[in-house]
Amino acid sequence: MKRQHVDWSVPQRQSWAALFIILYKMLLRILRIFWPLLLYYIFKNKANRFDVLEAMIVGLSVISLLGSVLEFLYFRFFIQGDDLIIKKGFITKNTISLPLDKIQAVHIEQTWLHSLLNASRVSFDSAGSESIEVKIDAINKAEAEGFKRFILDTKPQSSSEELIPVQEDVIIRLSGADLVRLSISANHLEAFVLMLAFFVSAFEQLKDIFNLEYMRFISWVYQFGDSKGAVLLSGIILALMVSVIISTARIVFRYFNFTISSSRKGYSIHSGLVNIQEKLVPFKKIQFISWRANWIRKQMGLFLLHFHAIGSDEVNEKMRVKVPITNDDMIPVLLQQYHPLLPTGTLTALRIHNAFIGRRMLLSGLLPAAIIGAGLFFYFGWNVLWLSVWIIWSGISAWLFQKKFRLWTDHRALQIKRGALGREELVLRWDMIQSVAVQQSIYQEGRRLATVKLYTAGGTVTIPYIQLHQARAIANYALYMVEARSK
Amino acid sequence: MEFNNPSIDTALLPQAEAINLQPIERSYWKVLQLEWLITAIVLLIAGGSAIFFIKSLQSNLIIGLASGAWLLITVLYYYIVRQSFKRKAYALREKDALYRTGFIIRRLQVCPFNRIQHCSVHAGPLERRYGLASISLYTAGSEGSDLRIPGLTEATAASIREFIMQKVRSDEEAAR
Repeated sequence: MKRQHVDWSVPQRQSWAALFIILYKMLLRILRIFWPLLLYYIFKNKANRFDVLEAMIVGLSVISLLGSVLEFLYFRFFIQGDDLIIKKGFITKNTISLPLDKIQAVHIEQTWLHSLLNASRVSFDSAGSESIEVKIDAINKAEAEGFKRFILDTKPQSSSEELIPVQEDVIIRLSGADLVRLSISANHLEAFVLMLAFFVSAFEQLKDIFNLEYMRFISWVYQFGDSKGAVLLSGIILALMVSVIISTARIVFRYFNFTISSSRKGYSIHSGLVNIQEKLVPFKKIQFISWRANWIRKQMGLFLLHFHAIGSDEVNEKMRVKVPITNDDMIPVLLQQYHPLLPTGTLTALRIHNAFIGRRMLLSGLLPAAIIGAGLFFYFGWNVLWLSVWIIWSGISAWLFQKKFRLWTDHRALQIKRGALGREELVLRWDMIQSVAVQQSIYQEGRRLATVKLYTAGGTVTIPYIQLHQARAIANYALYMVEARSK
Repeated sequence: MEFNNPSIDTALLPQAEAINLQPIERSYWKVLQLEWLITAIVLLIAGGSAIFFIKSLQSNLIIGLASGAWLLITVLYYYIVRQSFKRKAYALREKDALYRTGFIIRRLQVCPFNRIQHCSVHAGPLERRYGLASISLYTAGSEGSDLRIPGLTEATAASIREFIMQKVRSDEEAAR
């Protein structure tokens, strides 16, 4: 039965289709977690008894069904004044108020299940808060369109966007030689760790199911070598070669035919060999810009410049926009529409306190090494002393980080330079900050030191171990710059 | 159009740290105690079950060590929760909301109203038992940017929500 006129000020329930969609999503979640267990259940020798595993499967199914029904029954949405209100939750009640003028876009989506059930999912884009989802799983397709129209007609219009006229030309185009330089200097260790993690995790999940044993697997590997040393050496060489091939392939697949050009709306980026990416980074969505290089790239004058745009925080890989820079002169050009580099030569740099070195060495070197060492001592004896290399390295890297860290500020922006062996720099405009926090550990409090966290819609900038009065001054100035102006 | 760019004396800026913060409701301590108790019982049941079902763990040494570890963890956890509760306090200013929390890491977070995307009021079953609720202020910022003030009475949480939404709306209107 179709309702022609819906009063959106009255709390509405989702369509019955939502019940199936919620249930489907919940079952998918359970499958994702328990798939090895189910695989085992399918392949095991079936006894006629009703065992614990079967009870668990039945229990999980009942819990999913109950959870879905309750989630459906306790979900209401309506418009109250200028706000969209969503009330949900049976055990934990949750009321979300989203001002209509904050809504940047209303998306209506249909998966295959929605099409089958003649429903649509309605979601609301409100400038990037990743921590909460504002969406309605399923309402009748016609009603969804009506609701969208109602919201867009009701919401107050924002002021017109100012477009910055810029010359429309290509800023960077990567050549074949640039790709080779990027491939050589890529983080092969990262590719190696990724590959290792993938194989170990796949093996871990499958070994219990199919009764595989490490020792049996290792003895199988040993059959192909004359001695342990030869197997180990050839294994390492093979792994390194595969790592280099993987990281080179990643670079080529990602940056083949890479061009970045400036248009009226923002930077247009085109790249990729198989998955061709076309991205537009609007100037006004850039929250801050950073560029970094590992030690090898620093020697070769190569950097990866990162536009931290709205919604591009660390968890959202798809939104990250990285630009390979093969020439230092390109950095000021790419910063031009955001904020120029600060005149660091004429400004006083703020540095982090020496106490950072000891603390970082303790927390990221000494303590974890001591815990891991104590655990491994029973298996490896005094060989665990090799962990002291880790402690020494953590000390050296903390010392280098403290020595190289610089923060410069002016009225409109701040610039940070940091890194141990590599180098990273960033420029952040004060008015891009969303919220600030000054935090102190008990150790810092005793020494009147503090860490400042500046949260933006594109990620967090942390200034560790500075004097407390400096931390407060930075936080207060950031608040002044944000609060003194309208959005 | 005349362009002005006067210098700013940062010493004269409003100082967030100088504000008198208001402690959260005392009854929230009961909620935290119940949460502590539930955690301690769950740990005890998990440890007890492991010892009961795994024969190799059924030695006096292991039982003694496990009991000691459980006692140490629960006492330490209680102490940290208590100290953290004492520090939890909030304040509302004309243009932002402040919240102080933490014992091992002490943190003062400030969230400007003109950055708030939306806010919500939550009340879990334990909070509801004592007529309490918490308010969350969501910004467009990255993880950790959102501000959650727990331990408010339901009426206070609702009125803070109303106050903030009013601020957000008036900021929007001023911007237009």
